[in-house]
Amino acid sequence: MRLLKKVVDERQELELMRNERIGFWVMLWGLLIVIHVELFFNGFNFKLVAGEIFILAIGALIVTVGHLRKGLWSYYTNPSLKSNIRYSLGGALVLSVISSVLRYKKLLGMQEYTIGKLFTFFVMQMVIIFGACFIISTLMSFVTNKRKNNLEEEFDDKNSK
Amino acid sequence: MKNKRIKLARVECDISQEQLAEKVGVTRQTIGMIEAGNYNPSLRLCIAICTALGKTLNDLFWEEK
Repeated sequence: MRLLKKVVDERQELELMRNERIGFWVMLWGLLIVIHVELFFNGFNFKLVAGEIFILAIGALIVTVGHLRKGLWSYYTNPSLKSNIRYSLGGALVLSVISSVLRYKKLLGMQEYTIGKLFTFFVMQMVIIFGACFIISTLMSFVTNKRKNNLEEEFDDKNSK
Repeated sequence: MKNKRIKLARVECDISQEQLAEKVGVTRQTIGMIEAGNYNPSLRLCIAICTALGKTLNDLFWEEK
């Protein structure tokens, strides 16, 4: 038995969900920005933003698991090698540029640097982040496609009751 | 696009938006928005409206091109 009985109809529920979705994305990106700003102004002391990072991770995990369970990927792309490469490259480029700039400004604890060292750091960051993003997105796209196929089979002409 | 057929069927049955809303378990505003063409109801709600008004889905929701 449900503790609370819904008092909204289907249209109101849809509108509530639409508003909640906007709120969710604002909170998610807001949290991400706040974490970075706090880190920047507090000498990259991760202990200070551990709570925020934990909440962000839990939220992201819930969304990811929910998507995987329903065989969903995103609004604008399908899981594919091409899109995995594109988004992994994009993410790696942005993060590598940011961390290289921070290193250049001596904010990330690299005391002695040369342009050569910085470039090596940038390339290494790119490779590591791209590799991690690509492996994770490839694994996730594999699971998503598998789940999607399972759901399609479950509700096809042969299996549907 | 406005759905005048629902409004006509409702008037034929001599019931208000509020009464129809109560019969099908939604708010009056939802019925108003369906009649005004501002909300696409689910099939479940379409069937409930048809049942309440004694019409078929074709009568109320089918669009001839």
